Amino acid sequence: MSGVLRLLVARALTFILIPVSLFVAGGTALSWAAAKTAIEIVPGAKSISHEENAMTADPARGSQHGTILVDESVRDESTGTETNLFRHVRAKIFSNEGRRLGDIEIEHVRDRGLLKKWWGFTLLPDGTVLETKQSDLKEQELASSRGRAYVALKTSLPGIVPGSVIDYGYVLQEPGFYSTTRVDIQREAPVKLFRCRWVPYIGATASFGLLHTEGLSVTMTRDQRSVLVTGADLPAVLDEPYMPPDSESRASALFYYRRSGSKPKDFWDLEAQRLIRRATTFTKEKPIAQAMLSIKFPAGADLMTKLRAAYDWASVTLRNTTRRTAEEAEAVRADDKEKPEAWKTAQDILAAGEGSARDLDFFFFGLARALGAEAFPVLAADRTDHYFNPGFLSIEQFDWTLVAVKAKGDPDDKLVFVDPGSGLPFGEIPWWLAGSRAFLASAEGHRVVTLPVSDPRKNVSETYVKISFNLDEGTSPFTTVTDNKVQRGLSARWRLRGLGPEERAKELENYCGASGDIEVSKAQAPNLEDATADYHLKCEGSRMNSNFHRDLGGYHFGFMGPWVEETPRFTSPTRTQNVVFSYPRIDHLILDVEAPPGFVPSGAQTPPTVESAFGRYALLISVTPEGYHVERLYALTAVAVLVKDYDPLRQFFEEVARADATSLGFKRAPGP
Amino acid sequence: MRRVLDSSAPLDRDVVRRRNLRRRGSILALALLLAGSQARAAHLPEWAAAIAAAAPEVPPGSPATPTRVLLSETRYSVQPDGTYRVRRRLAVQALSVVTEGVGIGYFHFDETAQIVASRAWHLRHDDSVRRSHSAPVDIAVGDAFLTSSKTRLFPVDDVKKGSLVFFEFEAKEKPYFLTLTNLFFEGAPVGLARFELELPPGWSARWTWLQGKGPEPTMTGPVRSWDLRDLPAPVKEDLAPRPDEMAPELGVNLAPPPGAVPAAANFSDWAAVSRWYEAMAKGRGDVTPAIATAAAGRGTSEGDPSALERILASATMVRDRVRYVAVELGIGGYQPRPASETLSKLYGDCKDKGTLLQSVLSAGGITSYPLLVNVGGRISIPAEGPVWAFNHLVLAAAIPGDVALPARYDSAVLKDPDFGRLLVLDSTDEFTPAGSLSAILAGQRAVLVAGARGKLVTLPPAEATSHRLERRLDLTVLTGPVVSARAETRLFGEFGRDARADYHQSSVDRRRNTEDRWTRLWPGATVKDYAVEPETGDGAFVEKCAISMIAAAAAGTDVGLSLFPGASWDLDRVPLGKRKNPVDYVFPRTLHYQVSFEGLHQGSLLPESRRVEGNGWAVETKIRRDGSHVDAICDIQLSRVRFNPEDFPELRKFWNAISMMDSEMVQLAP
Repeated sequence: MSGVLRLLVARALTFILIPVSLFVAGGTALSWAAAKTAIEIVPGAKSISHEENAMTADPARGSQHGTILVDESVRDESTGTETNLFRHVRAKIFSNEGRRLGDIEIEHVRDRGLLKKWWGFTLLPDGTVLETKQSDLKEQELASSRGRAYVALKTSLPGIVPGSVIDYGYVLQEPGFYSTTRVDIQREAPVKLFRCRWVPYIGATASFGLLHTEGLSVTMTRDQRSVLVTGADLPAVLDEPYMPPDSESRASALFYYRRSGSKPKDFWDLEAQRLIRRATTFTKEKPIAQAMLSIKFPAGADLMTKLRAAYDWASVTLRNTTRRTAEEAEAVRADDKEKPEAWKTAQDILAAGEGSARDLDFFFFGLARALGAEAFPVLAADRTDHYFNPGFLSIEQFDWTLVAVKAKGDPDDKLVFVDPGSGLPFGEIPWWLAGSRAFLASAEGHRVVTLPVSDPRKNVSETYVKISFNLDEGTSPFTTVTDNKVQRGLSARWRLRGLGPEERAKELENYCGASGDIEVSKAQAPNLEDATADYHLKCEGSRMNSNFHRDLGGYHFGFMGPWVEETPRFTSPTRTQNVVFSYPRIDHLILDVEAPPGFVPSGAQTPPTVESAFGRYALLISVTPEGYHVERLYALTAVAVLVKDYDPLRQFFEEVARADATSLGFKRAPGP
Repeated sequence: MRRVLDSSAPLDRDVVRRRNLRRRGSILALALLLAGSQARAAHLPEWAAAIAAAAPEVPPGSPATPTRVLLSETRYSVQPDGTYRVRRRLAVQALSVVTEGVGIGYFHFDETAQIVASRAWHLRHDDSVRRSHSAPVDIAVGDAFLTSSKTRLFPVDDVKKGSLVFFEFEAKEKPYFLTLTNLFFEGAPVGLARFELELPPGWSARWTWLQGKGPEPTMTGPVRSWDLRDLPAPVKEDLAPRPDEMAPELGVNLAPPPGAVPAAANFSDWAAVSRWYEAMAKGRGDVTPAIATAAAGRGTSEGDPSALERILASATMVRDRVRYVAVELGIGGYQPRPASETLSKLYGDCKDKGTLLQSVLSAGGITSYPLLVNVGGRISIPAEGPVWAFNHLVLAAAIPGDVALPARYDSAVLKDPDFGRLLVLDSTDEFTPAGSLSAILAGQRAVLVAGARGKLVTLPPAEATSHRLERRLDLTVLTGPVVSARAETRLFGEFGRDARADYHQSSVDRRRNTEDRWTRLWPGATVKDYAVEPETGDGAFVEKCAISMIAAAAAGTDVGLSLFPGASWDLDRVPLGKRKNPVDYVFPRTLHYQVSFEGLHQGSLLPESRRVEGNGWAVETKIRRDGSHVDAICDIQLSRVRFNPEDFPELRKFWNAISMMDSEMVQLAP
């Protein structure tokens, strides 16, 4: 790492991605009571109110096409054999596109579901009421087999024009009930009134809760029989760049059943014990001891050094079958009679020299314990899709297994999280897990832990570029070599490994910047087959539009190109959601530009260094005998930025973009 | 308007609307769950055994495609009464461990067909044969809100690399008309693609290649067979038609013997197609009082302005007030609903909207004719041997002889010796102004429906002058030097259509993209006063904004601004080095940039005016200085749309000429 680079380094901001939640476990002994949650689902007024009439579109607030005036539902599963869904929607339409709200589809299984009630009408701006009868619903068979059909009852409400109000509702009876139902409280359009009542089956343990309702007018009322969620004047969920995943960007309610009536702590403790039992059963003593004999531990090494050695040994010795290259996957014989995954033990993994990602985690778990460390299986969620919510008592929310290790007696802040089989170095986990909470299992029970964000100093990309000019062709040939460490390039490596040779070659050309302006003649990523290697990318090609011709008196050349990953851009002056990046990183570009024949550098204006709480940027330009030497240093140290810090963040990236627009000047060489 | 198409590969060709795509995956999964899985030991049928015996080895390593279709065969046996017996056979080889989709046979059908047999066999990698006894699954397909188009799925279990799977479907079909189409496309390389036609005595057939090229048929007894061998794997590239739009497609016209009266219509010529559709629509366009009132409201009653204005107002009314909802159930896929019903419900599909517009125009005394067209593909409707290959309906309104038509409507006017001047109106296309012709319609052949006078016509071709992007930038140099600007973009034709679609989908996103453009060009600049006029009187989409705090770029030791900033961004480009497919721009176009600078210092250097041109393109700049004021114009014209690989050097010259203009700087400070 160069000296300049070291100057740029800062610690990653520790903002933890946590869903704000309120979960209430439902009681097991629900009894009928005069329900304070009861609501009646009935048709709306057959006239447009003054308030409705006064509403107008406000695209900036998500109501370009319409506003949901009423979104009501009752999901009655109380009998345990069927669901009665009562539904009512009323909306004001503002645009032609919004008329699609009047295209209604009610899906159910034919002969088992029953539409017990329906109403639908359009209120025109002049007060005319256009009714849609139940007989106007047409059945569309969506899928059918063995005499059973999944169908949709469809109708389009008539006469809708901008300014209309539509109102429809129905009661649908269906057999059975879903084990988990998530109901969005917020939509892409504003919602004036939201009401959702759930009447669970009395014979099962029901749980429910709200997600991301902070700051909103949303209340939850419960009685012994049911729960009612009410919301009023809910703003639309606006699409913003670098926002959290959809499920963590909007208010929603979750209703679900679980197998036992245990309290949350008991539930997770039980799951922790199950996981520990499985990991312990997997890691038989003999194969672990056998493996330990193969590992070369440095003399006098401390525990962490030994753990690192064991991790490195496992990474090299045991192949991860979950992350095979396309070639490896194609080489697997089709008639392999494999032992079912659940039956495998460390002995199988050691004998085969390979195992699934979870097998490798458990194997390392065994090695760590054999070394005298405290080791714990950890379950984590992919935060680009959703966050782990301890209030949601389900292990189905986890996507990944990790292992946490520490010396016996050390506090939890000494925990080191590892992902054996990932190819990442000891102490690193995939970026899409880091920065959020995870579930740690121990023999005593569970703990909720925060997975640390990777240090930006480890996620370094160093790119060396050489550019020259071919005056005859009017092109700028270039070569680039990029070394990407740790998280930098992890996703690309995994993707490339999974592609077949032809697709991989095309993707590599894309990574090298193939476009209408850039022709790539060579694109290589060596050592892809080595799961533990860093990601190297070598490119050769030509910028086809150097815009250079012999008649020019002077020439300027922008140094940006596919060798620089585009920095984020935030054009909107306002923001409603937090900003979430993938991982902190440092990009270091070293670029040498050879002056076009007959030209010499005329100088360049070096922009000022940009410093902020979110990262740093510096551009260093020097004239060389051949042309220019450019060093660009860009460090992004934040993973998540709160809305309140949006303005300075935006300014940081604006200044970076301005500096990146710097171009290098050339003038005619003096002389004959 | 429904189209008849036969291919086992799932297709989605209706460009007018795309719906239910997201849901299709989940329905498929649910449907396959319903199907369950059962298989028993069996022997391959003879046809499959022959293929299995000759099947090539599965190549070692990682294959270029996960599957190879060894046989794709469709056989139509025409019965004397004009019904069909259809047999579809498919043999697929799994070349990869990635086997998703290999174990499912597809057969498309609708309400005219009854599937009488679905069979599947699996020759496993250990040479054992299993016959599938899974229950077939039928799923709805297509983009229509309500449809009777379906696909039968027949699953085979446990497919692994090296597996050979065979599917056979048989159906009886009672078609509405006696024409057939067959697309030779499977989304994978195909060893043998075959279409067979068996005719009863006395019947005859005419055929043509609607798309791509194919062989003449071979005759074996009463069976004609069109065989295409070794069809390559489809390659999807940017700026190129979709692979299925380049695949060969056969069209067949069937004729019963003289005196025979089959239930299905037969089309001896295009006038017969015209008569058939006219019969379908008979009485559906009747003018009711409500329609007459609507027409009066659009200025189509007597005493109102010109006939042209009445036509345009009526077309705009139907376009904007009637929302697109396609209900294609049974004959409803071809037959329009009554105009009065469409008007009262204010929804319908292309033929419903077209029929309503025809009725409204008729109420105002204006004659119009339906035009049956194919949009979204590369279909070439043959002059002879009519084939039903239509998926859209637009209208041609007769322009009275005494009405003067402004030149801006030329691109949408069909001049016909029998029918005079006809203005083509697509009331389904929500984003194209009445009086303009969208690129997907331009140059297409269409059937003009006018009873026995009906005929095949060719719509006006696309012109570069119809699809224009005009950008005006008025820049004022302030001290610093910092620059402020007013920008106005006027988009016509396809450019306007795309912009309107974006804007109506999300005006916020449209604004954000516009702001992004300017701040990308000028980092740190502020965009304000953004305003849009979606459809001006001359058919433009107009977007205006003010840009301030434009910092001049440091260009070496100079400080300046690009003279035509971002001009090269307005034309899509692709890598050409390894490309095999032609580059296809779909429509010709004109890009016009007009830039003025106020407040330039006298010594600032300016580029020279220049013109560069090539085969089918030209790039020209004109730069004029008047004291501290500079006016500059850049015109980029692309009059051709297709560049074959041998034309790529020419295309590269064109691109470089644009880049050169884009890179030229105005010096603001030394």
